Amino acid sequence: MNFKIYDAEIKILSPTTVTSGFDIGNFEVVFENNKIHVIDIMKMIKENKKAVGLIETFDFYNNKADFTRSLKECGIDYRKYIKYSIDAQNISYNRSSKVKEIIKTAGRPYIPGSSIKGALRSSLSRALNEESRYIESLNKKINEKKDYEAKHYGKKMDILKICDDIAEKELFKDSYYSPFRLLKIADTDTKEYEDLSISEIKILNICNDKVKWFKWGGNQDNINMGVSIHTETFKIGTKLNSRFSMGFIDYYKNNDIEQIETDCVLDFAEKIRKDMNDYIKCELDFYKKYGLEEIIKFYNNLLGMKLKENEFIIQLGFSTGYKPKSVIKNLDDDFIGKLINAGAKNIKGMFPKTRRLAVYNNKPTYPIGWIKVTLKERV
Amino acid sequence: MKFKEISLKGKYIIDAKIELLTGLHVGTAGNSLDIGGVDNPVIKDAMGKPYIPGSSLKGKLRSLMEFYNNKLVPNQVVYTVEPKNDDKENKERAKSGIRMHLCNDENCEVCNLFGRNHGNHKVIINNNGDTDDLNLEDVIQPTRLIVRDASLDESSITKEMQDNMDFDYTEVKFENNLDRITSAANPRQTERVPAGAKFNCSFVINVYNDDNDTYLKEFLTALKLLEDDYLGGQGSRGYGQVKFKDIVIRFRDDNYYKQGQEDKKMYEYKELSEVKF
Ligand SMILES: [Zn+2]
Repeated sequence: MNFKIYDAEIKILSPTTVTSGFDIGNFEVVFENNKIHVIDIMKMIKENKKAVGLIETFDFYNNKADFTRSLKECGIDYRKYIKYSIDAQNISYNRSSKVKEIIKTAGRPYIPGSSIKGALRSSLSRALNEESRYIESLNKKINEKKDYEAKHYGKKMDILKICDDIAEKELFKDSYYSPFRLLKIADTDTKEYEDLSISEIKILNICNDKVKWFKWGGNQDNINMGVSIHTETFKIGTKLNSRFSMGFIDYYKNNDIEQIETDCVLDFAEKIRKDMNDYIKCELDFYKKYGLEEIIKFYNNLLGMKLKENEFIIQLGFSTGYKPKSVIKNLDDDFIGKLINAGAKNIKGMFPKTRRLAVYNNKPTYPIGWIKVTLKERV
Repeated sequence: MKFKEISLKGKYIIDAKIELLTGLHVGTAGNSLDIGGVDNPVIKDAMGKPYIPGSSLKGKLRSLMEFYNNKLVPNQVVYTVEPKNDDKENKERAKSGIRMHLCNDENCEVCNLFGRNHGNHKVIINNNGDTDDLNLEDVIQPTRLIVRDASLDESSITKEMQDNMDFDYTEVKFENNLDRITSAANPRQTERVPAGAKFNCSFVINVYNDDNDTYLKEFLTALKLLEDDYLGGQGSRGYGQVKFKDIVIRFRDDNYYKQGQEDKKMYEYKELSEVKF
């Protein structure tokens, strides 16, 4: 029987990261000569007596304290204790900022198969055009909330989990029948530190139809005043290798016992191309309205790419925001309000007016997480 | 029980390395908490070293060969665990049981290589999941394939890897389950053996009557299929890509067992792509 398998080359089109969930503390970081140097603090303490004293007295909880300067004042050469260094050009970095770590395996960065799959899954779910069915059923569930909680002696209905479960149920009955079970995506190979750069990300917020930049305590007009998030990202142009497999999908396609609607994952590249095209056009409308020139240019370039049958582009990973991950194209404020009333607090502020953008020289330059996938079928 | 006349002609001994191309998670039975306190630990031996149980390796190879040889069709699939739902009319019923291929075709390459279980079986006879009794007494033979537990090659975990891992042989990954509507993340812990690690694996294939290398070929096909699929948990989300390396195939017959002669090294491959029969 046929075994369907593709080698997949992933090319980074804009700074991309799947974060590990850990932050590199500001005390481990030295920013110098357009590079971020991550220091092996344990090694430094072991090998340098002066360091022990400094570590004991230095106020790591004070964001304004300058560790790099203190190192120099103590005559400690941090360069002897560098764990690794990463390019950090054309960004601003101050001592108070932690750096979000990219996910690594045994110390080397990669992109997990689960993240690639998550992006494909959302796109292919949207391509099903079953949105109204999903929303209807979600609506019904939310209306049952009171009854549910009365019946379960006040136990709260977990609305976010229900959103997720209903998406699965409405689209594929339950996870056993989900055709995504048949789409297997391998972790990519690992890359070197040279393939990484530090990205500075700012949060664009539209308030009263004006561009603002997020800051705790109040949005700012001036981008320089907005909060920066620093994160390790793959550089533009980096190539990674993965493997997409649909295995014995022909068996499921033709087999009545299994009853899996395989159509959803067949011709996935073509479906994703179309979905992403629609998505980018929406994004372009958004950015044109607010005149973000560099971003418009980037998206115009994406639209202009001549993608072959075996290619598609997609957005994944950290900071890509709500839209690329949702199975719903258009959620209106009314419905969002309902979700929030039903207890889905986390979604406040996540909806359509926020974007996270990579910033160079204080100019919003890239939406992050765009990759191009090229598939080669193995025979 | 009537055994057909079987004579053992010898044994193929296959030794190879399994190299991990992506992290491997072979879990323990149940979701026990490890001594290290990891949520979702990998199976380890008494010394605390991760290993790949022969039974899970064999189960995976068998399942791939069942698909490959088109064996998952009515009259050739049995329940190893009966479905929970006793509603005979329910079309979904079949899914709540655990199914595998088992048949009484004496030429079946899957059953002959991986073995048939004794006992009475319920064979699924149609797409509604209806069953009939299946008796295998006439075709039961000693199993040809034996799969040993694969032990970790400690030297494959370098100092550099170790310096960057949570434990001596494993790392703990936090994977996000993304909520489809809110994209809120629910981090989940999984312990895994990192890419680059190698395991030593060993297989035995008994050669009966006029088998010659029939089942050796079937077996090598199964290994190739495994390379294209995955081993262990979370395979559809990136884990468990493996590659077989340094494959050495020996043959042992009477001369070896009775005369004390050296076994014959029949084939040696750097990787499976070199295998051509
Ligand atoms: Zn059989």
